[in-house]
Amino acid sequence: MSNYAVYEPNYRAKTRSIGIWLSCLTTILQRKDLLFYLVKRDFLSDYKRSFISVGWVLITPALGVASWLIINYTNILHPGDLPIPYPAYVLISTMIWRLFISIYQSTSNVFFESASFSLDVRFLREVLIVKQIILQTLNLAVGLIFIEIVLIYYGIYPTWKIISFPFTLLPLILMGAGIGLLTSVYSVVLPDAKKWLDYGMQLLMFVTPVIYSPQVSNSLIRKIILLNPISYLLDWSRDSLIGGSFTDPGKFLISTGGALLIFLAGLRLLYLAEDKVIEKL
Amino acid sequence: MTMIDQEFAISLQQAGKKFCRNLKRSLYYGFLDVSRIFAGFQFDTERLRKDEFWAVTDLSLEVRKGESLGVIGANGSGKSTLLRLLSGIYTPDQGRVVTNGKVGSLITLGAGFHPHFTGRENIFFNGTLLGLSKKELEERYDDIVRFADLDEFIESPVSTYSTGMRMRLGFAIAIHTNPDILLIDEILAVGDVNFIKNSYDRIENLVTEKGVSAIVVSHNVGMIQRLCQKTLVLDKGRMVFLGDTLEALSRYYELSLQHKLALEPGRSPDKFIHHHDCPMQIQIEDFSISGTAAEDNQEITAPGTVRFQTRVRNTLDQQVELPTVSILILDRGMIDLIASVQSHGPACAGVMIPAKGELVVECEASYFNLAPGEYRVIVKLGGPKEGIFCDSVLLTRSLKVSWSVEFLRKVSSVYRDCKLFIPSEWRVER
Repeated sequence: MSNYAVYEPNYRAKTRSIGIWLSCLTTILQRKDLLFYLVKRDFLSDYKRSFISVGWVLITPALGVASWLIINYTNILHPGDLPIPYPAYVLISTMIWRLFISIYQSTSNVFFESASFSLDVRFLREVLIVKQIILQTLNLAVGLIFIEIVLIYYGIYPTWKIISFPFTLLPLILMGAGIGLLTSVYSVVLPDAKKWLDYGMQLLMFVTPVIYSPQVSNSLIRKIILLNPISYLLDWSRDSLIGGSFTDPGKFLISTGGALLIFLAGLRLLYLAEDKVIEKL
Repeated sequence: MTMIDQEFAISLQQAGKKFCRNLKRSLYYGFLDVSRIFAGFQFDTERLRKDEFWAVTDLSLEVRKGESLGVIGANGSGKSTLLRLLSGIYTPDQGRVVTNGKVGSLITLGAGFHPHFTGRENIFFNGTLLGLSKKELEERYDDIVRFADLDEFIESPVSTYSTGMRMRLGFAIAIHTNPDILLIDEILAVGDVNFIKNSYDRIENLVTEKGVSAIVVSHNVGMIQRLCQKTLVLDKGRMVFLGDTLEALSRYYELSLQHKLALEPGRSPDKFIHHHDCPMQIQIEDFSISGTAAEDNQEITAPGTVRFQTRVRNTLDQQVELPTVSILILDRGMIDLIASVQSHGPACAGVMIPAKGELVVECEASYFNLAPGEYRVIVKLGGPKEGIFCDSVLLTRSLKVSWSVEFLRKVSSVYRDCKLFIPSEWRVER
């Protein structure tokens, strides 16, 4: 490996997009050991001082679901026609949503996460992003055991469609990471924008079929849900777990393409703007 | 594109880096720059916008493989910015920076250490962060632990370590990354004597035996002197001097005095620099070196008689007692005090300087015999016993001493390295 490096003004801007993406991929492959240790460190450090330890992976979604169940039992919420019982529906949906939103949050904070040593070590932020994706996906994987127990309790048994779960989840991961990457750069140079977007992402859950079905009674919300690309990505992930009928394949594919484009654009921005952003930390 | 000689480890070609003083404006510029880059535009980075300044500018130098370069300068002179340019953390806004070899950084030791994990676990976290693979770390693990001298603590969480222990572990990992270029920034300020000695020895070994190029940023002149053949002096982001380390240290000292300087109107800045911290009511008006052996002012052929003349002026409206006059002779790097003479004795005791008047104080050294070389001279009025230094000047020209041919014939070459020959009379009794 050549260690000959030339730094000059705008040198990053001279790199073509395909070169940037290949460089990110090469870096991740070359630094797989770093990736392994970062995942191990962060996964274990979350639970190292906790007595309940990894049990939090199961407790967190259960506690999250509880509030929606209470609202549902009070008849304030009208979730529309659901293919499965509401507790199972909301449990699956919130876990998938949590994966999306936690990937967004962790990637959008990628500069602040490494801020303490950004000016001391040339840090590889692409490795940090992949680490965050792996960590959040690992959490979901552990939580899946809990989901399957609940589904079986309600008489919903896994079908062959469960095999497609990782593939249907991938566009959602790319979408979350892509929006996070675009936000990460601007969160440093335009902190107000990040605050607005964080609020926006919280609201996004209410125009995505997470706590109610896409066929919710309110016509305006229904229209927004149909326009929201994340609705299709989440629907397909959920359907793969409950053996549902993958509806609107065209819109799912368009949303997947959009997620990929956003992710690639986010990676490009990260590479091009990284050195400018570090100076502003 | 300029071709770079493969023997060079580092090449800076008119490199510069700018920053913005105003935080909000800095963020606004960041937003503009990031948006332009994302849209595919290249822009003029050399133009200074409002509130921007050059932290480092127009810096050109080359460091060959196996050569070490010291970097000294006051706080804010651009030393850390230079290291960050070399490590690729900052991109230059001007010129170019080329590094030829694996860059190892001893800027902050133990970056990324997790306090709840053991020393062993942190070796692998930190080592992979610095670019080592798991296999390489396994091979070097025992050496790292041995160097860090943490045998019994290696399985304890890092949060239980003292600052010195964390430093040792961080240094041990960083030094085992086998870099071709080592960037060192004031890292050995903490740590016990043994650790500092081992660290110096290790860095020296890497430079002299393994051909590693080192860039050493430090206020510790001893460290610079020991590790670096040549040194760069930075002032406000600009190169002031690049060359022999002793000469550089002398320039640095002179520069730091100049920053505090109070060049009085009408005084010649060519001759000496006043120390700003001294009250100037009693001033050194002039100073000269002459004598039978002096060929030229501040060039002396020794041994011989040398006269130091100090003209002292009282600026007050009342007469005052003549303070002690001290003449200090230091080595060229201004690290070691070689000799000093002071105006103690009956001739100067109780002498009064008239109001608004002057006196000339002369000191005659009848057997002035410093070893050949260049020295720096500081003259002081007053002293610790008098509670204050009334004035203090550094002569801008160094004092050059050479030995007469007759004396050279007499002195055995074995003893010529000593700094001072003590005048003596020998007797033999039977």
